[in-house]
Amino acid sequence: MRFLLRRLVAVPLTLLGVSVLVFVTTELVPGDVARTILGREASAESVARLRGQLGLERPLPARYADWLGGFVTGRWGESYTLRVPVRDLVLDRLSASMLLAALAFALLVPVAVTLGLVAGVNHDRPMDRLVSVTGLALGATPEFVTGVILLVVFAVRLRWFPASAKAPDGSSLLARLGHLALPAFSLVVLCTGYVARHVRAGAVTAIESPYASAAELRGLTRWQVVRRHVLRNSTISATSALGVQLQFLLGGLVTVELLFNHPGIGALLLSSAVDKDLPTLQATAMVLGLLYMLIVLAADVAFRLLDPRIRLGAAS
Amino acid sequence: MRELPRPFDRPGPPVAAKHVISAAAVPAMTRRTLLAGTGGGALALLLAACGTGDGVASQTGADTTAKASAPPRPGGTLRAGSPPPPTAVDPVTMYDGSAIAIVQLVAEYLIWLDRDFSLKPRLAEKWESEEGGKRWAFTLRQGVTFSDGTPLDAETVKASFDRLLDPDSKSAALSAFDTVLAKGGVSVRDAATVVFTLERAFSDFPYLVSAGNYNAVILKKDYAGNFTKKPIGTGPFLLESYDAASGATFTRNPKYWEPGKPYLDGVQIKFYADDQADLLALQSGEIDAQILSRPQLVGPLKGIGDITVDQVQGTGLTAFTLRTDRAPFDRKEARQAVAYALDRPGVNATVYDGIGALGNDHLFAPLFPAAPGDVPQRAKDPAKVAELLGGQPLSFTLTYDPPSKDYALTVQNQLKQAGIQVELEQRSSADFYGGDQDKDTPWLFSTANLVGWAGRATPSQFVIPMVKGGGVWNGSKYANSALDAAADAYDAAQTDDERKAQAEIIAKALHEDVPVIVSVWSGTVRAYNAGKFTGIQAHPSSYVDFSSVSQVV
Amino acid sequence: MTAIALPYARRRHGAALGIGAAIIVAWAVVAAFWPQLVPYEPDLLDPASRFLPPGSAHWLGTDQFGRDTFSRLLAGSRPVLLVAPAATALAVVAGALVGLAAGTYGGVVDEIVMRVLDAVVVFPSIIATVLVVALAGRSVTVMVLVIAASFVPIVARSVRAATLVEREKSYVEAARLRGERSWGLTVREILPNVSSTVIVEATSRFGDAIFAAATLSFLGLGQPPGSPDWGASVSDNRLWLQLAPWTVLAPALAIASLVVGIALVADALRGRWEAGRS
Repeated sequence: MRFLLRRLVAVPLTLLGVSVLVFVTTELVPGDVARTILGREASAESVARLRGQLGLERPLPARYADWLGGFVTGRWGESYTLRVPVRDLVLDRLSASMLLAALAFALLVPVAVTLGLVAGVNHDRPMDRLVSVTGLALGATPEFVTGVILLVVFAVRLRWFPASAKAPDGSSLLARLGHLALPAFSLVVLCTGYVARHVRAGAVTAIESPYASAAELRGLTRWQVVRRHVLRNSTISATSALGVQLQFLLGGLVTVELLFNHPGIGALLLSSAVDKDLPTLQATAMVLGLLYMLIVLAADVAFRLLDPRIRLGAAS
Repeated sequence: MRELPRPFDRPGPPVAAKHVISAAAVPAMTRRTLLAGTGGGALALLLAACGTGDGVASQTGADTTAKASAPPRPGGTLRAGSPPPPTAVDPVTMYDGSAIAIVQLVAEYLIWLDRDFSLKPRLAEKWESEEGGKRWAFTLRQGVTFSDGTPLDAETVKASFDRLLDPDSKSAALSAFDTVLAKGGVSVRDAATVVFTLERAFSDFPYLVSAGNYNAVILKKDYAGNFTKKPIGTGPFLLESYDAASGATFTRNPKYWEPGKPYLDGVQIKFYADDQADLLALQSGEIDAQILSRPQLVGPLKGIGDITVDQVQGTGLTAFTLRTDRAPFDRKEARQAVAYALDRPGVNATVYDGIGALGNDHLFAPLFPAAPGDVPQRAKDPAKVAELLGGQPLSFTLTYDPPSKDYALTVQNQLKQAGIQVELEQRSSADFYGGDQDKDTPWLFSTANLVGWAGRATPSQFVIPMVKGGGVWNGSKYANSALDAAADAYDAAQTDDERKAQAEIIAKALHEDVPVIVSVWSGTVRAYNAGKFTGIQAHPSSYVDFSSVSQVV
Repeated sequence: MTAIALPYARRRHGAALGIGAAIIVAWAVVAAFWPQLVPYEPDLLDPASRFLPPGSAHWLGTDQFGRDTFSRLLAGSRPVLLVAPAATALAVVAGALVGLAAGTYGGVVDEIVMRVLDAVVVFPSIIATVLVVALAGRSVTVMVLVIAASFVPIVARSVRAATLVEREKSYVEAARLRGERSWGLTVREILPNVSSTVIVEATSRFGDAIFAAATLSFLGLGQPPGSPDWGASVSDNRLWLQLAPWTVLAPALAIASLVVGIALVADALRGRWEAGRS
C-alpha cells in the first residue's frame, strides 16, 4: 500500500505545479478579459476601470496567492465573464460531462474488448485485418465528421434521436440518455479502434505464449483458451490503454460537446481559456486534473491487481 | 485617449457572436492530445463581439409583414437558437447579438429602429428638436407600466440615460454619446417629457436613443446590474429563467401596453455554441428560428421543407483598411491599385453567398438615403492596376481574425492574379482586438487589415470614427481636413440637400484616396420554419421583435 | 523469449505489406510531383463554380471558393507527409525511451518520470496551444515539437506498462541472473517484446498527428491559412458537409487511407521480424 500512498501524496503536488503553470501561461497569452467583457467598442477608459475592479492590475504573485488561498478553502471565486460562482458552474458542467463520458465508456469497453479479442483470436486472418483497418480508419476520422454524419442520418433524416444532447429540464434518466446517445456513439467510434488494437496485441501475445499453446495441446478449444488465459492478459494491456483513452475522451469531449450542444466541462475549459477567465479556467483545470489522476491511479491499481506478477509494493 | 479630440462614435448593432464562432471554430477542435480538452478554433469565440460583416442585401423574404389577411392566431411558444452570450447578460454593457436579443424581448427603447432603418415610436410617442438640433424633447407614451407594475415616467427614462452616461457604467454607449451628450444633459420637463441638451447640434440624435444604440433600453430606476435575476422591463415578454449554458425562457407579458400583443404565449431561446449545431437543430425541428443566421449556411436550406430565409438589405461591411502613413500604402497609387485589382462580384458570391450589394470604397451604403449616386462604380481593371503600379512590385501583409478568413483568402487570391503578393497573418480575435487602442492594437495599427462591422443606422457612425482625422477607430490613419469639415457639416445639416452635398464630398474623397476598401455591403438573413410561425423577419442589425409573430393559422 | 507460435513464421505478410506500401508510395509520389499532376491550380478561386458536385470537369467537385477538390487533395499530401511523420517519429522515439527507462529502472526513476508525465498530461493543452500560437509564430518546426511533446506521455505510459509486464517474465529474470546490466538487458530482451506496443502507438499517433497538425494550421501556426493540408481541409469544409460532402469526405478518406497504409506496413513488418527472430 506504500505505492498507493506515495501516489496519493503526489496528486496535490502535481496540481499545485499545474496551477502555477496555468496562471503563468494564461498571463502570457495575448488578449484582455476586460476587453472581452466590454467588447471592442467600449472606451479604453472603461476597459481600464474594469481591469481595476477585477483586480487585474495587481502583480501576478499576489493574484496567485489570493486565488490559491481561496481555492483550498473552498472559495473558488466568481467567473469574470459569466458573473456566477465558479464552483457551481464547474461542478454543474462536470456532472453533465461525467454522464456523457460514463455512457460512452460503458459502450466503449465491451465493444472494444470484443472486437480486440475477435481480431486477436483470428490474428492475421481477414477478420483481424478488417477489425484493425476499420478501427484505424474510424479513429483517424475526426469526430466532427463522424458526429455530423450521425446527426444528419439519425437526427435530421430518421429522427430517431434528438440533435441536441441536452434534455429538457425534469426529463427522466432514460430520456436524458436518449439525448446523449449520438454524442456517446461518436466518442465510441473515435476511441474503439485504439483500445481494440491494444486488446488484440495483448491477446496475440497471450495466444502465442507457451501456456496457451500447452492448453491448446491439452485439447481445449481456442475460445476456451481465450476465456481462461487470454482474456485476463489482454485486459491488462487494455486497462492501460483505457487510462490513456480518458485523455482522448476529454479531447473528444470538447468537440462533441460543441457539436451536440452539450454544456459540459470540455466546452467550459475551452471558453474559459479563450476568454482568459482565470478563476473558471483554474478551477476547471484543477477538477479535471484531479479526476484524471485519480482514474489513472485506479487503472494502475487495477493493472497491478490483474497481473499478480507485478507486486503491489511496486517496482523496487 | 481622452486627450484626443474624440468625435462621436456610436456603437453599431450587435455582432453576431455566431459568426465569430463559426468561421473558425470547431474544426479546430479536433482532437485529443494536443487538444486534450482544447479546441483551437474557438479562439475565434474571442471577443465575439467584434465585428462581423455578414449578411446581405435586399429582397424581402417570403412572408414578412403585410399580407396578414387572416387574424393572427394567438398562442404557441417559439423556440429560437442562438450562440450563448460570451458574458453575463447586462443591458448596460452588452454587445453580442444573443444578449441583445434576450434584452429586446423583455425591455424597450424610446424608439425602435425598423428593418428599413426608419424610426418607429415605442416608449416615446413623438420627439422634436429645439434650438436648431441642440436640444431634443421626447414625449413618452402614457399608460405604460413595467412588468412589476411600476408606471413608466420621465424620471425613469432620465435615470436610464444617466446610468449609461456615468463613466462607471463602462457602457459602449459612452462611446456613442461622446461629444454629443454628456452626463447631466438629461432633464425632466414634466412627467411625460424628457429633454436632452446636447453638447453640439446633432440632427441624427433620435438614432442615438433608439435601438440603434442598443444599450439604451429603458430600465427601472433601481436596476442594479442583475438583469437575468431581476429582469424587469416594459417589453412584450417576461424572462422566466436564464441559464448561461442552455438558454432562456420567456412568457407573454399580459400587461403589455400594445393591445392584443404579443400573440405568442412564450419564447424559448436555446444556446448553441456551434454554428452547425444551430443549423442541424433548425433542420431537425428542435428550434423554429435562428436569431443570428449566416447567409452562407442557410442560403442552401431555402425552400427545403418549411425552412424559409428572410433577407434584408444591410449596411454591414468588412473594412479592408490600408495604413496611409506607412509604406507601401503611403502612396495613393498603391492603395488604388489594390482597389482596382479586386473582383467585387466574386467577393460577393464567395463570401456573402451573392446577396450583398457592391461597395465603392466609400462609407455610404446604397441603403443610406444620402448615398451619392454619381461616383462611378469601381471594378476590376488589370490594365489600370499595371499603370498605377508602374512596374513596381507590390507586396504586403494582411492581418485579420478568424471571422474574416474567407474574405482574406479571397482577397489574397484575387490580388495574386493581378500580380500583388499578399501574405496572410491570422490572429486570434483576442489578440487582434486586444492591446492598447492608442498605440498597438493590431486592428488599428497593422499595415493592412480586415475588420468586420455590423450594420449601422447612419453613415456618420462609420465616417467619424473610421476616417475622420484622429477618429477613435481610424485604422488607416487617414487625415483629410476637407473630409473632416464635411463630416461635421453633415451631422449639423438641417436639410436633406445640404446633407447630400456633404455626403458627396466625403464619398468622393474616400473613393479617390482609398483609406478603406469597401468591396461589398452585406445584409442579414434570418432562417425560420414558415410552416409553424409567421411574422419572423430579418433585421439589418439582427435585432429581435417577436411581438407580431404568431402561429401559422 | 516469447515463444512465437510456429504457424506465425509461415504466415505470409506479402499481400498486406504490398498494399500498405503501395498506398504510402503512391501518396509519396503525389506529394513529390503534385504540381505536374493537378488539373487545376489548387488555390485558384472561381466564384462561378462554387460547390459543384463531382463531374467530368471537376472529378471530386469544388468547394465554397470554387477550388478544385481533386487538385487540393493531391497538393494536400505534401504538408501531411512532412509534418505528421516527423512529429510521430519524434514522439514515439522519445516516448518509448522514457517508457522503457521508467519501466526498467522502476523505483524512484519511475516515480519521478510518471509524475512529470502526469503533470504534462494534466496541464490543459488548450492553454499551451493558445500560448504557442501567440508567441512562437508560424513555423513547421514548432508545430512538430508541439505535437511530439503532447504525444510523449501517451506513448511513454503504454510502453512502460508493456515493459513492466515483460520485466517480470522468466526470460528476463534469467538474463538478470546471468548478470546482465539493466539497460543492455532492456535493449536486447525487452525492447523487441514491447515492439508491438510501440507499433500500435506509432500507427495510432500518426493519425492523431495529422489532425493535431491541422488544428495548429487552423490556428494560424504552421501551415498558412488556405493550405490544402487534408486535416485543415476537413475542418475548413466541415460546415458544408451536408451541402458539399465531397469537400469533407475526400480529404477524410485520404487521411484514413494513409493511416491504414502505414498500419498495414507496420503490422506486416513486425510479423516478418518476429518470424525471422524465432
